[in-house]
Amino acid sequence: MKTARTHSLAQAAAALTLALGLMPAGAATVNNTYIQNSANEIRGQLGGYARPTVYVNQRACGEPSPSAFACGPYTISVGTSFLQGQENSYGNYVAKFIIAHEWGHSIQFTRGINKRAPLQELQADCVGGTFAKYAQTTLRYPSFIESAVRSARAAADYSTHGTPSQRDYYSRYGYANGLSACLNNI
Amino acid sequence: MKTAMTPTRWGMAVALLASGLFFVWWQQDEAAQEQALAAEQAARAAASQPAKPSNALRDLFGAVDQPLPRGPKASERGHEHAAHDHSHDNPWQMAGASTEAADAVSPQGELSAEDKAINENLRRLGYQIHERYYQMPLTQLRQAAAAKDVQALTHLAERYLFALDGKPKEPEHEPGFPYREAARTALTEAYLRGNLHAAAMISETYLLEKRPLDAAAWNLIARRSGDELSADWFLRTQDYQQLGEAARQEAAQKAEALWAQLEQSRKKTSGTG
Repeated sequence: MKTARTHSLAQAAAALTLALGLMPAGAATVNNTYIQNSANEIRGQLGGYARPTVYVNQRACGEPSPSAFACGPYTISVGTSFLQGQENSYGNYVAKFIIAHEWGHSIQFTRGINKRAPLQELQADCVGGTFAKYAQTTLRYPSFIESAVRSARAAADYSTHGTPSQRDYYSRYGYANGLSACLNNI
Repeated sequence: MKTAMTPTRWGMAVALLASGLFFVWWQQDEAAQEQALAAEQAARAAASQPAKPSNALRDLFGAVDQPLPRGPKASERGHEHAAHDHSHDNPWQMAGASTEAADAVSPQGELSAEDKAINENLRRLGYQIHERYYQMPLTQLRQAAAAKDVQALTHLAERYLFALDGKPKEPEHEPGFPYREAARTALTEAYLRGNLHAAAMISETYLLEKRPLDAAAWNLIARRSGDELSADWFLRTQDYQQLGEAARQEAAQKAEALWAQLEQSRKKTSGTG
């Protein structure tokens, strides 16, 4: 009963939000459910390499404001507003790529990988790219690698995260060549 | 002229007010549910985790700058050095309706028309190298580039810059090979053959070499070619922002000379096919 009510209310609220112009048409609502479902999807692909818990809106890494962090093999911390903003700006499912990128850092923590900047981040981009391919081919999502790459490019800083072209290259490298290429060749 | 509040208008006003109150209530309800779920999740995780996580922060994915807006509003800018508020302008022009198979309908839904339009525009500019190039052995990639395949030329440059330059342990690394110069040559060729984004890629190579003046000059070429996404990003870099007015003017002059050279080369390229 509660579920049905919540669902219809969510639909009404989404319609109202759209009507008020707060979200682009077709944009998904990024809430705890969406994030945990995404984490489960990523676990289906990468769970054999790392099994972090994804904390939502809790600043679990001690970050000043919720965005997207990994701070150890078991902890990913994200914020709904940040991820919603990314999906609104760059396209549906971008949040999944971002969580997969953080999952890449969890794999690095698990395996003791510590590369010089910006390769540490670029390897995580590569892992994100592998999930974009998995989501498309196994989970049957529409391809969102382009939106994901745009999101990564926008956050490029050419010291820590790499230049836009580097982030583009490594995300697509993972998308094209898979996880073992990310872990063995970068 | 005065407007009387008829019963219908009163009804509409009340309905509007009720919608607003309902929306506020729903948001609070959703937030409370989220909080409860998060607390439950934290308790579960605390019980299952063997050790406290390290406090070393690994990543802040997107705090570097503000995201560019998504809507396909035509940009009206024309001045390379103007200060921009990037949270409000949009580098995209609406493109044609054609899309590739990657954007096709899937059981999970499909991309919005807006996303498809953005993707199409990026493809037209020369972004989005196809995955098959990422899977090609270097020899085959070089052959495709020698045959003037524009995506191969672009990706060969990427391979040189990001996979081989300065990486002597790579099996395909050739000691003494001038990777950066070869990459810029390939990118220039790609640009002349229609990859407009290649200009911004050349700009980035100079940025990484700490040659901001050359980077700024190529960035002006990128903007003039219509690649505003990359051109805007460059304006936010520290190296560009630290360039003085004299250096910016020098970059503009250099860009003019480069543009003239490129135009000449383009004529030759189109003449020879």
